[in-house]
Amino acid sequence: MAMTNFYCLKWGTKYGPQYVNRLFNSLKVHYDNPFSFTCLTDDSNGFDSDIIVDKIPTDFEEFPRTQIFTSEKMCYFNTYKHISGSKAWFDLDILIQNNITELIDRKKNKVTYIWNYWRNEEAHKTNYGWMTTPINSSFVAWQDDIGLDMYERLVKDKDKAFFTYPSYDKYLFYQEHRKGNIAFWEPGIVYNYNIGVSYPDDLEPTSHRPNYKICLFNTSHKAWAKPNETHIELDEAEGWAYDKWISYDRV
Amino acid sequence: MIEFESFASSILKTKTNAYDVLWYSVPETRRHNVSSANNRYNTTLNDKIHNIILNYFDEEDINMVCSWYMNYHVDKLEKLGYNITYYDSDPYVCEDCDLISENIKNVDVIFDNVKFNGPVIHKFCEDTYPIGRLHKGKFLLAGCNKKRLHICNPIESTSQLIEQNNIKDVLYEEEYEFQRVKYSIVLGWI
Repeated sequence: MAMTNFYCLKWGTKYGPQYVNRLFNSLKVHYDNPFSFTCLTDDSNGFDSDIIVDKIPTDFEEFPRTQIFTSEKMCYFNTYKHISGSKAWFDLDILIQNNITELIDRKKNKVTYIWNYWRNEEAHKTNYGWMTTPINSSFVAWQDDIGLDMYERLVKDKDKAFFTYPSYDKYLFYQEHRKGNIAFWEPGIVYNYNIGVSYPDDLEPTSHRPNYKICLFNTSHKAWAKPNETHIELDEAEGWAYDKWISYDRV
Repeated sequence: MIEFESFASSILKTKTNAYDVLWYSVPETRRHNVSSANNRYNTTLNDKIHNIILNYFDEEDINMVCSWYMNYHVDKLEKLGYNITYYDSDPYVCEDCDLISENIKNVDVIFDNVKFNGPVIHKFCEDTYPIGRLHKGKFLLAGCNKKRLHICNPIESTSQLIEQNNIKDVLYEEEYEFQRVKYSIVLGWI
C-alpha cells in the first residue's frame, strides 16, 4: 500500500506556524496509517522538523493572487500527480475531531469536496445566477492522478476562469460540478463552527458536535451572514474548540 | 408531477402571453427572478434591443445568449417571425423557460463548445468574459455598470464593449442612463 500524502497551504501572515504544527499533530492522532505531511508555503519558520516544506506553485502567477481564488489548490493535482496512493489537503482553519482513516483510504473515482449541508439547499437553485455556491474546499481528498483533468481544464480556460470567478469554490461549482466531475462527503462528517450542521433544523453556531470528524472555521460568509451566525477564527475560539486545538501541541 | 403538468397545461391554454405562463408556473422560490428579468431596467433595455433588431436584422435565425427569463422576446420578437435560439447556463431557468420556448439550450456559451448559426445578442455583458474574444460574426452587445459580487465585468461605455470584444465594424452604438445605472449598447461585426 502506497504511503498517504497530506498537504496544506500557508501563505502570508494570517495564520501562524502553530496552525500548521497542530494540523500535523492532529493527523498523527486521527489517521492510522503511515503518511507524509507537506506544507506549501512562503515562510516555514516555526514548523515542526518532520513537516516537508515545498514552495507555493506559480502555475497561475500571471493572474493577481487574491485571498479566495486559491488556484494553488488545483495545482496539487498536477504537482503531485506522479505520487500514487491516497492524498488529501486541509485548510489550516479546520479542527480534526475524530479518526479520518476510512475517509482517506476509501476508494475514490472523483475528487471529494465538502458540500455545505448547513446552507439552504434551495439557495443555489434560486440564486444560481448570482454566484452562490454550496461547495467548500477546506478538506479535499483524492487518489493517484484523479483531478489532473480538472487542473488541465483550468489551464486551458485560465483567462476565462480568472476573469469570471472570484473564488476557487465558485469556479468548481459552475464549471466542474455542473458536469458531474466532483464528489462530496456525505452528511455527518463535516460541520461549520460558525453556522451549524444542517439546514434548517440544526443551525447552532459554536456548539460541539463530538461525533463529527471535522469542524470548519470559515469566516468568508461574513458579508452575507445571518444574524445568529458567528465569525470566529480557530485561534479566537473559546472552550471546547480552543482546548481541543491546543491539545494537539502535546502529541 | 402529473398534477403539475396538468396545472401547467391549463395555464398555457388560458394565459395569453409568455410572462403570464412563466409567472404562474415557475416555483414560488424563483418567481422573484421572473420579476427581476421584467423590471423597468430590463424592460427599457429590451425595448431598445427590440428596436435595433427591427432596424438592423434581416436574418431569420438569431441567437440570444445569457437569455435568462426571456418572455419579452418570445412575446415580441418571435411573433414577428424571428427564429430565436436561447442559451443560458442556469439549469433552473432553462427548466422554467421550457414552457415558453422549444429552443432553449442549457449551455455556458463562454466555457462550453458552442457554434452559432446567425447573429448573436448578448445583453448581459457585465456578467461574462467578453464573448467577442471567443466567437466571430454579427453581435449585438449590451451591458451596464452595476457593481455586485456576481458581476465580473461592469460595462462603463460603448468603447469598452468595442475594445473588449474586438469589434471591427460598428453599425450602431448607444449609451443611456436609467435610474443611475449606465447602459451601453453596440451592434457590429467581430
